[in-house]
Amino acid sequence: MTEAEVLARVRAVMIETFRLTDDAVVTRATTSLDVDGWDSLSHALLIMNVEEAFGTELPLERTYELADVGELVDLLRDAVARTDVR
Amino acid sequence: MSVGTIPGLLRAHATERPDATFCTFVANATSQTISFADLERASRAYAEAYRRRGVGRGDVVLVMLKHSPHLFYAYLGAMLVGAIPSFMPFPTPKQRSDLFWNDHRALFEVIQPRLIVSYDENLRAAAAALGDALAPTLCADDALLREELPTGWFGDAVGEGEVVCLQHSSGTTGLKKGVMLTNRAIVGEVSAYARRLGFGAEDSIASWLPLYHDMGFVACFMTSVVLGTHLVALDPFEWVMRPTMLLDAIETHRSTFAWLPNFAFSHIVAHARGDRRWDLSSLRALINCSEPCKAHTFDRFAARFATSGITPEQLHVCYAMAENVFAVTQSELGGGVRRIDADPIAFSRGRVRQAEPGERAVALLSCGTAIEGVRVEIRDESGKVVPERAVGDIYVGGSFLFDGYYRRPELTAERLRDGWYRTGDRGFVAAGELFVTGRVDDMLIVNGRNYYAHEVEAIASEVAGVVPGRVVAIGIEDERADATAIVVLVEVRADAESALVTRAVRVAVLEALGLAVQSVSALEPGRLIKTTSGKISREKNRALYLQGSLR
Repeated sequence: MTEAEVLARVRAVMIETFRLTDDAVVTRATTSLDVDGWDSLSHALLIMNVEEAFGTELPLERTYELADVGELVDLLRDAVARTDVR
Repeated sequence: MSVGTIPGLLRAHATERPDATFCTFVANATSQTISFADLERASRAYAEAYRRRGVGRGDVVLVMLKHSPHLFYAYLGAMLVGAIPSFMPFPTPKQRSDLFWNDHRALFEVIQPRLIVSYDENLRAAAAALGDALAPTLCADDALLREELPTGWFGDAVGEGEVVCLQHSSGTTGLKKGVMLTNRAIVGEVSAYARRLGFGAEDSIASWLPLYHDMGFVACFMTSVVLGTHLVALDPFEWVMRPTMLLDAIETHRSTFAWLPNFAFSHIVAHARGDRRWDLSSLRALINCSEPCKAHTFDRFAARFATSGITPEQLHVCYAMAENVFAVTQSELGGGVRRIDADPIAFSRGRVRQAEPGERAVALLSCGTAIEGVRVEIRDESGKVVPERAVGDIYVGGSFLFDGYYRRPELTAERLRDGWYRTGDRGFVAAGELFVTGRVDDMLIVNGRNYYAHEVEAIASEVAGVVPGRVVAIGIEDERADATAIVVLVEVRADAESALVTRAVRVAVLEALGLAVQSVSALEPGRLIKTTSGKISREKNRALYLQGSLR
């Protein structure tokens, strides 16, 4: 999966999780400070939702401190690549 | 009447049942079993480390650790030498550590900690921020537990009436007050509450709660130490990301009790996907505490976990506060929690009248009756006790009250008078049962943590581009998350860029308080409504925001 494809799918999950408008701008640089309602509880929901969308499980300790959407995209690409190898 | 001391009870459990499990400590998907003998030995190791550093009777020891068994050892070790321990939160990854530590300066000046027990990274940041103003520190390290110990026991010196710890659970750092608790109050409350719950030697607790909060500290940690029962301790950070791990723990360890704030019930439901079941038949009660408890939260939880063995009769409510050690009232186990569907118009005028069937109603959940040794009164503004079903200020009296706020005599005098504590909560009593309806002040409870609106406003007001003083912080109900969310309304100067200012407000509040505000509304100067006395009105602006006119 290309980076652009992963980002597009993450964006779709964010729109659903945070109830954003369909034209919401989500880039690699987007952080929790740019999105209404993105706190520690909804972050947990976002992680669960992306795990479901990508059919993978992310390492718990790496999911706490993601600085921005870009780091989430990279983590997902790694996880998906590992799942494919298995 | 002698109730025993906490060090004495620890020693008795370790001597009489050395191999009994005190705690199953869960972190990073692994479990560690800590017996009462392990607990006693490791606590003595800390006591010895304190003694070597000259820390003893009456010295304040702050324990500031992430999820680690050292939390228990460092705390009890301090009690063994007659010092006064207090659990304190550590900075979250999103908080700026320099701001975090600078914010502690004023608190440290008041309480003068003799020692701070923390982990390396935190202590380095503290030293960088505070320099000479920082108290001596001790790094929590496993090496400390392996040292040879003298054979003598030194936990007998603490008197039952002595202050043995401080609870710093309310308010953010600058406003924190050290609630002084005596040994007698803690052991007395834990024992009386256990009798009320029918909590016996076979019972056990599962908890994800942080220990710096009274629910984690008293209901879970102290209960297990005083009564010698089993505690399953999960990492609060891991729990937030995977909240159903509490159900896994209850199923695996056949736990019988768990305490959690209202938001936690909803957070668990949101993460319990599909039709997965757990065997929760061991549970005697899940007790909702520390936040306003909501009837619909219980209904959703009971519906989702009916196939896991949960019934509405297992879902209970407790009203608690650090100033009374913990529990004030508790709903009666064995039946469901009483509810009142109140007429909203009468309720808005401070009277409680049952709504007619089919009418719009405010659903209120009972917190039960006072536990043995505790008294509750509802008073009006003049201090007169009001009749049943009239809303007033909640006062608490009885045997387990705190001894005052540590080195804050003026604050103590304001809240603690003639053996009664003015809680700052509003509520009423109906048929002997307490219903809590709100707050007197501007305290907002977000995910179990207390914040004050004026603190958030002061931070936002300092942000460049905000018109100074033209800020309101309000709490709104986030129905989807079933939790309180904070919204900040700011007037932005005409020459400033709104998007940049709103982001800067979020950053400032997050870095200073670790609080993620749900949204920030940028308004033109003059949009916020003032009261007749010229102050900005939280209530009126909140109403306008909810109508949609201040977004």
